[in-house]
Amino acid sequence: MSRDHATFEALAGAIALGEANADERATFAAHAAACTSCAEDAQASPLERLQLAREAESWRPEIGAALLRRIRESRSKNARRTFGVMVYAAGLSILLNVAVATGLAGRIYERFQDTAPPPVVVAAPPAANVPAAPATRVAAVHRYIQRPLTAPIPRRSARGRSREAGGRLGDVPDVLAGLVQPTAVTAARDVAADPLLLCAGDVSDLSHAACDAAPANPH
Amino acid sequence: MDSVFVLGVDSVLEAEARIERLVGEHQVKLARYVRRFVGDQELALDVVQDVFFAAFRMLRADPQRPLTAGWLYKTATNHALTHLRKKKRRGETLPLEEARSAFRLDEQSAASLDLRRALEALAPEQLESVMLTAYAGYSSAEASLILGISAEAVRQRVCRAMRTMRRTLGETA
Repeated sequence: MSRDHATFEALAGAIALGEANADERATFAAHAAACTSCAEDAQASPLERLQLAREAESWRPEIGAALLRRIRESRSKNARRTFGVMVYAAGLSILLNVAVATGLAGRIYERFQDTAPPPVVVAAPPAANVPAAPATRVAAVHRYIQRPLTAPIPRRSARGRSREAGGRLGDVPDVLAGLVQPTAVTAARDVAADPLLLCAGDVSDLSHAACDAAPANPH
Repeated sequence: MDSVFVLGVDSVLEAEARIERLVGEHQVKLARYVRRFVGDQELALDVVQDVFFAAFRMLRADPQRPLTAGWLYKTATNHALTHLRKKKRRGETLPLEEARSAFRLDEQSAASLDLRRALEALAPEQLESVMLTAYAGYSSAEASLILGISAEAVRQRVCRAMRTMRRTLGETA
């Protein structure tokens, strides 16, 4: 549909609604003489029947009472809801105050913490190219300290192996394996020389004296 | 008890007073307009009550807000169109006997029923333009403000609605 024709449609609508002036009516009449579809629009308007039907209406409804009832119901419903919320908030507030004042909240919190599921521990993947830690010396010290001082300390053979253990202490460093029948002076010297030496429960008084004598020992 | 817990009691009372005035002025015209729109008397009463209740809620929120008859007609038109669309979606067709019962005995003429059929044949946008202008008595400029379109578009829709109505009335004649 062309734009001109849409303009004439609007003109036909204006004429039907009684909003067109004389010039507009003349313009439309000139166009309708040549246009068949617009000639139909110039005929009697069916809108007149609608206007006649409006004038013939005699129905007089009354909705004021029903509407006011609905409005008042809505107001009372709102009031009930507001009152309910206020009561609920007051009750909750009292409950929380009592819980805090009596320490109940703390106990509930602790119980909650106890019943919480344990944290998941995820094992770290093994390191691929990390060299092993040199723990040899520490292991030897530990073994040395736990050994009673009255027990014979195995002697090293000429090839560096223990006669008694048959090679079990082959990784003991020479400086510790050579300690035979320690005296107070040698024990104190050893402790002072090596701060990694710790006192064990079964070490004799001699060893404790050595520890006391060593100022740098973190005893 | 209800006014104790509701904030802004004055605004509620003011809104109620304004609504009572609006209802007194517009209820008859608006109910007839909606009944002609939806073709059902009970539904028309429900729609009009919804419209005035919406107006009350708006006035309760802002009692100073200007509320015109145009707003009432616009809201009623939207409500009525929503009901018509729902009815069309459900595929409901009103039997002729029931359609007669929606109108009073003196309005149940054959011409009135023909007019009803002709209005049912219109597209929603044509129906609202025709009802606002030819039935409610608004000019095309006022109807354009209510519908949010141009006045020329309103006149075009009226013209197309007239063609559809003429065709439908010619078939039934």
